Amino acid sequence: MDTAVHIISQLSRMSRLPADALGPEVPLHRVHIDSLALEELRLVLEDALRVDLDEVHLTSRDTVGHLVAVVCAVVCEKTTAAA
Amino acid sequence: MTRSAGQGAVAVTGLGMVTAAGNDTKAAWHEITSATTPSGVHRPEVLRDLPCDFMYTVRSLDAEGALGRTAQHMDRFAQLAVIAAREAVADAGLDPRTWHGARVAVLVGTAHGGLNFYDEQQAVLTERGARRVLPKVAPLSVNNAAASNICRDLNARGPSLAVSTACASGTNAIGTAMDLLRAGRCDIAVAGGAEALRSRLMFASTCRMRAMSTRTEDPAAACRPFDADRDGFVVGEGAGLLVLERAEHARARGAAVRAWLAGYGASNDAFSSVAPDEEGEGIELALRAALADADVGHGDIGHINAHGTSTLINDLVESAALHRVFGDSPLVTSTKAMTGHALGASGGIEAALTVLTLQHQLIPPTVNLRRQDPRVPVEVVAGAARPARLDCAATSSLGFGGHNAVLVLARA
Repeated sequence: MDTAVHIISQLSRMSRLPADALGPEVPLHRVHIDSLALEELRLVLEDALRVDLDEVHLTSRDTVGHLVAVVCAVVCEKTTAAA
Repeated sequence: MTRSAGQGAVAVTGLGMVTAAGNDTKAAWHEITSATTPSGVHRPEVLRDLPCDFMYTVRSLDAEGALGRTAQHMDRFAQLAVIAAREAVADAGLDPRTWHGARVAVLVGTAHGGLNFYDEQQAVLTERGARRVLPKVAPLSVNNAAASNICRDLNARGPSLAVSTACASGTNAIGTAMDLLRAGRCDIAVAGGAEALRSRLMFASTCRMRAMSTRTEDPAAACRPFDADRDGFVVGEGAGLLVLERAEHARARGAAVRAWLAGYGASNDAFSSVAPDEEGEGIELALRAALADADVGHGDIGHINAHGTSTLINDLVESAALHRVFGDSPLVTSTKAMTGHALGASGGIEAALTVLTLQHQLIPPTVNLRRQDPRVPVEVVAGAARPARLDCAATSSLGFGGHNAVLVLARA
């Protein structure tokens, strides 16, 4: 599954909102991802994508688009390093 | 207000219950007054291979459907509490969208809180390390999570407390709510108890304590309060919550009063961390305090919904104390054979059942009681529900740590 699709899928599951409600400009706190839920999402994505997101700076004020971008960057970096 | 409900009485205007005998008040009352054997005893997968592998469970409850996304921020005891609180508030005819939330208190008793998620994450820590542990262990496991989630769900912004006195928690929560109402610190209180213990560790340990029934060959008959062949309690999960109001508040809005909460007594045995004082002085103290608080005599009490856990010692100590205080006349029952011992929730559930007993003038039977222990000196209702003319009734709870709590209720 495409990384971005995977992230949106997990976000949709946690927020109980359809994927089309999770546009790139929407702040995470607007889709019920508070600071606690964000840390849970971080662990869920780490398990699902087999990456380490510990150093990725995220807050609930960040947007869905920012979340997707920074996580995709880590996945890309890992893929490149492995190649 | 009846003669028996004095100036200090507060109105019970709403009930909410989620129990192994039924997922709402109406279903639970029907089952508890009509069934001859409990249907709620099951063997959850999580208890597999333990010496005691059965308990009373709430079935067919779609907590996630009822609570939506907030369900994932609650352990099961808090989910049951919120569902029961919604029912109680609706039953009282109150609307949280319009009420004065700052004058609404929430007090919920629990013995163990959210141990299920705690255990699950303990396993993650052991097997996968600290980095894989979810960050919500504290907010899900704390004992105040039931109260705080009710507050958030119902916009209740007055005083809120978790009350934790082991198996007396629910009764102490209701009594403390009564004190807050009398002190004028709130107009409405949502109070009772909630528990949903499925912790393997706690089951294993309590079994070693020899407090739980190990009648694994016949789990549905294991909880048999006051029976000569009883061998321990059986855990149940559930929640029981009451809406209490200052009498003037209930009167001013024309609320239907189900019963009056007339008196509260609490004490401690100051004796042991687990066993009750065999002389029963602590529970007797609480019983007499509740009578005095209600300003009624022992002869006014026609019925007692007892703690009646089905342990050897509790049923002897409690029934002897009841006999010393009330004599031969009150009709005693234990509803735990239908609900299981819901620990910190039991006081809330049993207070709600006592309200219904007064309302319907019908005493639920002590199911599974076949042969009353000859050392139990009170008349226990068994076999079938018994109609009775009741003005006042009491309900008692005893908890590990020597906590005793008693409520006196009066017919509306």
